[in-house]
Amino acid sequence: MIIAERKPFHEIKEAVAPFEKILIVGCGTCVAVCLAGGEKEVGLLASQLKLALGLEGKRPEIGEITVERQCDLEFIRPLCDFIADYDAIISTACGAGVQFLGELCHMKPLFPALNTTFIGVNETVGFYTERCRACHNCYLGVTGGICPVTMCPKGLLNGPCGGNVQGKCEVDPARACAWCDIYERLEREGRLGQIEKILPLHPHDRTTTPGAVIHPAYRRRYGGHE
Amino acid sequence: MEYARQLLEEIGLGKERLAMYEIAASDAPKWVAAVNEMTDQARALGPNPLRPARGPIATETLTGPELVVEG
Repeated sequence: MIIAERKPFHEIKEAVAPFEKILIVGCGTCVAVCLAGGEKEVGLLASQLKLALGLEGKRPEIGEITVERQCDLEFIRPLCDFIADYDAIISTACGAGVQFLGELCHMKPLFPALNTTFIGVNETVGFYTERCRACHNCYLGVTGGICPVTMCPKGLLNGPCGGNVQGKCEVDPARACAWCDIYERLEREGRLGQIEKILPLHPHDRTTTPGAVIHPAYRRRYGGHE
Repeated sequence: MEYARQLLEEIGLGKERLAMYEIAASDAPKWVAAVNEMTDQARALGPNPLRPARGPIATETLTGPELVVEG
């Protein structure tokens, strides 16, 4: 899922301080799981803003609403009428959700409440780690399920660098070298010979932004490249 | 708890207004000390700036609710 962290409160407050009617739109999927932008966090931010702006003698009207996903038109389209009643919008979605919502409410100032950090996993409550860089070309099948693009700080595709010290990474000695992990995993799986396979250059040309994907079943409809 | 204190600090109300004490049910002296400490802290910080200014706390005697029978 997408992992995000809330922006410093003063940054959000300064952005919306000039407005009297503010709507905070939450997102109930990834950022809700990582406790950054779900319904509860929207309520928390609304209370903080009311109190902080109240201390400055302001009495803003702050609305709260949380949709299932802000990266899906199906869920944000019904917000159109709601948004019309407010002067400014705060979105607690990831960067994708904020931009999609922005396309919908382009007449109103829109501010992000989160800093989107990475695609990761929920290791345990409140602890998230990165696992995927969305690099367009997955190597997990040949690297024993450990991603060299993400888990190796240098993103090396064909074995460790020379900085590997006793199985630890030179960038962060507290972490295991991704390629040592890959070696051990392949060894355990009895397919160590796999590691001798030379991976071709990573197709960086495909990672040019902004990316777009059209499902094969919809190519005719959207006129995508064959 | 620390997170809640941090939220209060961020908005400018001050984290000193919130505290949590762990006190056993049988530990009355510790309870008294904690209440006194928090009371002194609250007096030192002054009234909640978000509440409209009020006069001194009324000392009138509380009376029980009157029984009203309708119908």
